[in-house]
Amino acid sequence: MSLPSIPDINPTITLTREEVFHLLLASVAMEEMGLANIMNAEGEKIQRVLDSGEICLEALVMIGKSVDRILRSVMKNQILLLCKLEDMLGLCEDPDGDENME
Amino acid sequence: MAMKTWSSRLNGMAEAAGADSLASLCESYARCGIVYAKLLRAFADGTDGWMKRRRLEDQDPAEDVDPHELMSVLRLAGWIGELNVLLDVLIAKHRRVLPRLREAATDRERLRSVEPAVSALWDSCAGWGVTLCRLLRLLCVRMQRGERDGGIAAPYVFASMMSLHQLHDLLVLSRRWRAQCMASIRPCRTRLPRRVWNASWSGWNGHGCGQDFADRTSGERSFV
Repeated sequence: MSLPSIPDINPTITLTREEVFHLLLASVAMEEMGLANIMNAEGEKIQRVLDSGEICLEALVMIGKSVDRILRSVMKNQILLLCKLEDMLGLCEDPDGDENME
Repeated sequence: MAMKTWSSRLNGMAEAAGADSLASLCESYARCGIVYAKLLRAFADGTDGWMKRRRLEDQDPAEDVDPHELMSVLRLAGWIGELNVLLDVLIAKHRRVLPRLREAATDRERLRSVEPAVSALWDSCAGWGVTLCRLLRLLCVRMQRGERDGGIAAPYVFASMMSLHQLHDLLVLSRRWRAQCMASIRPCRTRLPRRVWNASWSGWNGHGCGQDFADRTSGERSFV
């Protein structure tokens, strides 16, 4: 048995620092949109239940638990996104970082 | 070859993102705000619908409604605490991006993408305030009767206080978000538009509590 052989690849990515910054910003924006879509789906689920006409306490309880669970997950992601954004903005403002990167 | 294709794709994405990445980030925040407003409005409508249904079924809602049901509905609104945290994080992110966007944006209209979200959120807060007033009034009537019967009112008071506290935080955060956006977009004009005031005022002025409901429970003091 031998180790798997990895082809000799040498990727050359020619991105400037500014382009990387914009790419990272775009990635954060896309992630935000994804989370917003998840929550939007939750809102549509609530409206669908309401449109069905039969609003009982059990349905409300079910909806509340579902929203609670989703919001907790989204909240964790949002806090991570805030940290990511702060790091990005800090990296952009840090002149020493510029030298290290280039 | 594959790597080269991937690299060129990345370059293309970077060029596309570079055009307006800050503005699209702000638009994503606006989208989040609208979704929060939508969630809150949907939940308020659901709770409202449930109460209306109970009122249709029962002649005197405060007479037959199970206090445990009321407590369950109030507990359901606990996710508004999470919504507050989310909104707080959203405001913090927006605060970090807005100054850069103000410097970079050539088109001032792009800065205003968040305005509808702020208005929608404020409006939904008013809607939830109305529903909560109705719910608490029902609870108040029930609590008063419970006291007459020698019941213990402390859990009701605690649940009511928590719900009001959450709503208060939500309103404060909504107001802060709006003030932050307006200060950035139009520094000379930071007052709320009249229609937003009207929506919130009608919510808190007792108009939303429903005169018919007040009539049904005549003899009891109203919350508002």
